[in-house]
Amino acid sequence: MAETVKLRSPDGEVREVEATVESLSPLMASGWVQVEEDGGEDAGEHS
Amino acid sequence: MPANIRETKIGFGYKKQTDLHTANAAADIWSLTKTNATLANISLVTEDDGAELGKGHEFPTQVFKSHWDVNGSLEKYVTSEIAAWAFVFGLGNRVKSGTAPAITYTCAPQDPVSGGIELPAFSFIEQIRPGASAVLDRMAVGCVVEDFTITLGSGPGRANSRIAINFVGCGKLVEPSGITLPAPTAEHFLPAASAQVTINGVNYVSNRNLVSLELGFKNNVRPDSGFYVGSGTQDGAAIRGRMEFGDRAATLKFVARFEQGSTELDKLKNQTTGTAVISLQGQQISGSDYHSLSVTFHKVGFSATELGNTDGIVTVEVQCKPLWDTANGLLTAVAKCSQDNIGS
Repeated sequence: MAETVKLRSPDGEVREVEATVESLSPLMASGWVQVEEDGGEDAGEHS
Repeated sequence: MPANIRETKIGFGYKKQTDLHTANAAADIWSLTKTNATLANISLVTEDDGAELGKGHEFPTQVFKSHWDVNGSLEKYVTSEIAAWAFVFGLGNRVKSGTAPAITYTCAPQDPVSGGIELPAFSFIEQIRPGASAVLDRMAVGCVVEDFTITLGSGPGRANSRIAINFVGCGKLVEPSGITLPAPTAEHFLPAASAQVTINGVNYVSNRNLVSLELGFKNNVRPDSGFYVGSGTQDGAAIRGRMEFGDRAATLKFVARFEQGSTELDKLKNQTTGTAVISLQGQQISGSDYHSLSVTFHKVGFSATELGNTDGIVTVEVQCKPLWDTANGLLTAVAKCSQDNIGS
């Protein structure tokens, strides 16, 4: 089982997904960014 | 005393700056080597009053400071560490996974809606004999990646796996830098000989036909819009207050041996599209984890092909056109290395 990471959509939805190219690519292409365990936005995307 | 260019030390932030005009902390800077001798181009641009009327002649009588321009380049052999850094800072959106010593960075072009159009910034330091006898000791604050290009070639030697990164700065400088650079980070080379390459349905490694390949990404940073009312000054000259990407573009081209059954010309004629995946692997980190990179172009077509020869062998040069895939976007770049917190 691949490791999972939490991502947040531009609308605020948080989803836990496998850290694989197949799982991450469609979400990242739609503007999802990584969130840290404490719920804060990660450094994943500059803003 | 004259200085040898090989005395140059460089360092740059592996974490992103908290804002464009705030330098990386010393603890967030790493030192990597490079192969190009070029120093960063830090120039104070000036104007004169030659064209102004009222002086009674056309000759200038004064020079005025206008603004600062900063740009530079890093040319290196491809390592997992610099690949991770280039993907994180060059693409803008990254997901970090894994635990030390095997950290994976999965990166994609930044989404303007959720991430805006400003790129993550870093500080770049150059030093020659820092300290009391300093020849050069400066830090360009607020630099962003303009583009990166990875080139793979045939033949022996590390030079067949290279990366070139161009960056531009906002103009803010700190001299002397006040930074004591750390010892150079141990990097892990990713040789071209380790490549796995599948493009548009053809495995170019199993057919042993790939001669060379080049992939890249360019942000086309908007240099002039960084200067605005209140963008900031440095020593009386303007500096940029934002570093925004323009029309971004990915590139992919390759040269392969052309033989009976080669499909490149037909795929151009038929406008066949497919994925392109380019991977490199280096030294083992632990268990099944290796220093590595992988770039997936989710949809490419061929925009041009040209037959030629390489060392007397018939080859075809193919220009690929990376296309936006409705499901997966343009590209996903992954690098695995032991350096934690790149882009944090």
